[in-house]
Amino acid sequence: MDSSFYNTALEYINLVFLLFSSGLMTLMTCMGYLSTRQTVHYRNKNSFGTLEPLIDSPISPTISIIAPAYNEGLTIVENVKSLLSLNYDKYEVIVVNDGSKDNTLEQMIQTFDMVSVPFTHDPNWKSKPVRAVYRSELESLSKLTLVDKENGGKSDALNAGISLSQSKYVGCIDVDCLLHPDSLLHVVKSFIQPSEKQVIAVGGVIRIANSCRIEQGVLQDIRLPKNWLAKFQLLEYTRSFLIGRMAWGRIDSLLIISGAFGFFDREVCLAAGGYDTGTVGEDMEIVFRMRRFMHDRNKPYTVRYIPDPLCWTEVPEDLKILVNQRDRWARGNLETLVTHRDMLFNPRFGRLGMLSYPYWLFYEWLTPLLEFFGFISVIVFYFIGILNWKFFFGLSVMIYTFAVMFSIYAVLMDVFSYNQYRKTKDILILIGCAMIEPFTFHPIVVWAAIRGNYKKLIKANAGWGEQVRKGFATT
Amino acid sequence: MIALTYIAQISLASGPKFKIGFLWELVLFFSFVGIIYFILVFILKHKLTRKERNTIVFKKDIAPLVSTLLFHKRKATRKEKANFVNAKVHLQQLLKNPENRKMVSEILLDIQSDLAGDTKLRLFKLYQDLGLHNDAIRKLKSWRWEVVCQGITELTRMRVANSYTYIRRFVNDRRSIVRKQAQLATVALKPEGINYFLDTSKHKISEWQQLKLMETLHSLQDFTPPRFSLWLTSGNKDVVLFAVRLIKSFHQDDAMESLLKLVKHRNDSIKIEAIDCMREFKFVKALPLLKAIFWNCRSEVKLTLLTAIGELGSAADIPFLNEVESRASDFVIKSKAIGTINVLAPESILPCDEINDSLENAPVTAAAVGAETDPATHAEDDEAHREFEASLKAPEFQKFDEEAREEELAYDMIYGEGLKNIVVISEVVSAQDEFFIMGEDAIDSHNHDEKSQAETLTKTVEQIQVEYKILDATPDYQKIEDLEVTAELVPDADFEEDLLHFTALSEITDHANYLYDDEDDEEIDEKEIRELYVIYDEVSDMPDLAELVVPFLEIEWPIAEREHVGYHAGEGSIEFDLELYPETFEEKMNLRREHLENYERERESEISYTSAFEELFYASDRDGKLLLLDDMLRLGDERDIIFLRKLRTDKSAIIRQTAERVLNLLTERLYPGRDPETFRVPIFDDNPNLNPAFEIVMEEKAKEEDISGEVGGIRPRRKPEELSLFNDTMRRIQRSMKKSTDG
Repeated sequence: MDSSFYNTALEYINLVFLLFSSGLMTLMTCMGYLSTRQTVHYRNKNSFGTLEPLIDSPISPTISIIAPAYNEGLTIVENVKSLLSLNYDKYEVIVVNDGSKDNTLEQMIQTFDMVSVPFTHDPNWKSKPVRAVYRSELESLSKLTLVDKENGGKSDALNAGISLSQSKYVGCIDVDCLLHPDSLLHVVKSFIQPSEKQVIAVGGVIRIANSCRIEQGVLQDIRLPKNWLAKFQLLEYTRSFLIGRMAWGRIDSLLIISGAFGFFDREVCLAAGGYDTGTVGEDMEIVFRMRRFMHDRNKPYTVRYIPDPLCWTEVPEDLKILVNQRDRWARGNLETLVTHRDMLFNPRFGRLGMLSYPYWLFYEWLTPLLEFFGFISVIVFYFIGILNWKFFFGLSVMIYTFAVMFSIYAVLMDVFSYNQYRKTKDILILIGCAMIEPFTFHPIVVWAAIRGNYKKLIKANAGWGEQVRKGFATT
Repeated sequence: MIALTYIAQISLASGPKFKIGFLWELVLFFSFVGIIYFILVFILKHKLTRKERNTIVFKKDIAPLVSTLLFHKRKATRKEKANFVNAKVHLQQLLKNPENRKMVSEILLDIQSDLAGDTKLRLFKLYQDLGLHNDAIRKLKSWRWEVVCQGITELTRMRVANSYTYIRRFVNDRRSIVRKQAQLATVALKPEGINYFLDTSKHKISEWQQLKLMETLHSLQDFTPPRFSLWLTSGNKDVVLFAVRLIKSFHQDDAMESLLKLVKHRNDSIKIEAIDCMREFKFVKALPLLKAIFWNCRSEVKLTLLTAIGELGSAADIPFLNEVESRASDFVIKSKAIGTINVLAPESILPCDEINDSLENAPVTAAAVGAETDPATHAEDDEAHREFEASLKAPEFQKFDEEAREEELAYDMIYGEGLKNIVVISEVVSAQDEFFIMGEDAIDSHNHDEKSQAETLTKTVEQIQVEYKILDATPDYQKIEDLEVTAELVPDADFEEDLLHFTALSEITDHANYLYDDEDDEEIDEKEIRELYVIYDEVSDMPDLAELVVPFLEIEWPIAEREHVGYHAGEGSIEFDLELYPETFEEKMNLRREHLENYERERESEISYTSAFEELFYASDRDGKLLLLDDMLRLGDERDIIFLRKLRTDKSAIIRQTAERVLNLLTERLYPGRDPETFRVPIFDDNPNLNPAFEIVMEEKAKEEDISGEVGGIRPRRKPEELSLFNDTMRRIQRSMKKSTDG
């Protein structure tokens, strides 16, 4: 084989990268357009009317917030107090102690004067045995229920909570999340607003609370995180929630609802089988399954997305924890895509099969792999002396400028929608992050994704990884 | 494809040839767009910050003006009036700028949510006076849905009732958001809006929309809900569902047969609501049907059915529940059935799952046995029990117990099952209480039994028995069709007095209500005035009652209402009364009127009638003068009539014409029926020379007719404005009496 063959092959490889990059950029541009339209539409639509009638209306539905807790003794009391102070009449908080090894259970029982109460639990439901159910003796805490069960993981705890709840809707959240006092009003409104379709799930944007001032479980002052990893994640979340999910929401093809803030129609959720306990990507998997359930029965349905900043959480500031988290996300993504592989280009599932699923497969799962192997190829080609420098630089700079442009657009949308970071300095820092992210933060994310895929495809033995709760800084 | 050809020429033999330059062109393009975004971020941020700052500054500037306009009193000092007019003119000037108009609208809308009562009403009026509602109405013509919605929302929140007809046509608009806003507005702006909406609604009504509509209906003042059962036959199933919810929410239980039909509806939501309605209304007759449909329902409906059976059923329904428990495959249904059995017969099913068998048959421990059989423990328990028993026998406790039992009995009889034809015997200790009970809005009518009223004078208060004959089997007050008050009593001085108070009070309210009951009645019957007077006379002889009545008569009604009263009083009370008197008094009255007119003429020449507008008027340009003339029409008083007469000779033709028009309208407003050219301005409504005449007339009239048998039925409580009208009349009577007494 002569060198012309290598050259021809090389040219074709270059073409593949070029086409893939162009496709990605075209898709991102479309998403930018859709998200902008959706943002403007949402803003106009919600500019009149209040949510107040919902608070104590006789026909407003019941809702249960299920908060699984595993070794959360450090922060559980404050977090539960915050959950109990939401503006809505017909809601309850079900804290599921998933066999914690620390004093989570004792803290709850002592602080909230809880006593064991009789309960019935479906023995056929897929969750580990429930040991006891506690309710507070105090009338003022009648909204609180504590479920103590054997350890089975987050999905298992959520399943137990969903099964024991009797509300029309269930909210699955991370117990360390800080919810906006009106968050339930927004969620319930989203559930009951459409008249043509049944809303089976509602998701929302997750905002980053690192370095924010929090008093008595209430967010007082929004500040830019001080930690650089958190700053990059803030930019990443802004891009993902304000552009990506907003766009998918616009065309009703949202396939993921964040596990930190997801609400479901309990009946559909139970009928679809609840959370899959065999995956670490349970938040994505349940949306896939509930959508399939409704598709299979040919029922009109929709999944709603709320862009208002209702849920605030701390993001990892430690590199190791961040890599563990992204590793888990990558595995969860892969597991879900494999479980529902029959949806790929399956017209029976409409936009889900023809658009959403392929996007998740090619751009959410495959992109980090291509990036990683592209990087390896560049090094190899350089050492064997066949690297097309002009093309390599041209393509790299083009992708870089597009990425920076897209991130600045996300910042623009953030200012347009909520304008929460008021200082000019904060905006400049975010734009600065956008410019250095491709060289600093992005490689970490790619590496974590590679590690996750490696674990799943080769080692096939991994769990949730280490999780450390710092708790919100209170002043 | 063309783009691809431009970027790369693909050849299988030699590989694709790229135009690398294109990549750099894209780099330049993305960089350029990125820079544009970067600039936009800061422009947008600056714009938002500036807008926020400007709004704060504008709000700060405008707040005193709005507050002056909102809290202006009719009986203000001259300086306050001048401030008011200044504020109005200043605001009018500001509103010439469209941006300012928008901001003022926004500010008033913001303020609106923080206000209540009379001030809120004045805000609504101010909004319309400033012409801001015209901007909102113009928005309805926009092709952009969000602008139309803004217009509708503004008009609804500012209660611009005139916009009802404009908005109504959007009720079935194809744009769902416009449709929903229009539906809310239709219901909010006019009481008949709900009928129109339910009659014409073609589209689905979301839960959220139903919730907001219901909230709107409940927030309406003096709203008499229609019979919602009329819409249970609607072709729109969402209308049916909403009607069922409204029936439940407004406690209308006259549609049981229709609800029984709806329990068999195909739509589960309607089915569930109908079942819930029956449960709420304690409709025991529905039980057989609820059990019959059980097996053909989905889980959610079954759960609702079990809840209803738990509340409506009895021990006789336990076999059915046992069957459900044994046949149901769904764990939740099974559990619910067990729970329902335990509701009907507590602890009939005990926990059996997960019970430790070894513990179940475990021998009772010695310690536990000891505690049970220990004589000391028993002695303590017995002692405590004896003390408790003794305390129950104490006289005060027994009395309390008796009272509680009687109250309980009365309560049970009113609210218990099967209210049909129940005669409720309730002890009513105070006749005043009774008055207030009977004054409830919900009581439609009653027959006042004259005979029993006479009897009450000879019986004691301890034995009053008020029998409420309720003809309908419902706790719904609106369904109370008859109310009889009877008594079998023994003489008691206190009660006699109480009863007199009550009777007098009832009569006052009856007559006052009657006087203003019919809104179409432009004239008040002289006989009624006379009756009021006589009743008042009776009341004033009772010192205790006077204490009760006077505060009622002297309630400080909100300014707008007082203005309203003043306006009507002009056409309906004193002056009007004088015209009505019979011929025997005519001469006397004519003489009196002549006397008063002479007196007024004299006063008119003595007093300087300087209008509050005068100074500002001469300092204003032509537009300002025209604006002030408009204000005079709305706010002006007697002094402005004098001023307007002067203006009829103004140099400017437009001022002359406008002044002429305003003069006519103002005269018509203040003194209807008078000729603006010739009549003399009466500035002393409370002229002492007038009222004695009135009193004489009343006295003479009272002598002429026997009113002892004139007892009106108890009517619903009047609207505040009607009461204030009554109040005003009473005050006039009171004043006239005091003055005549003083004289």
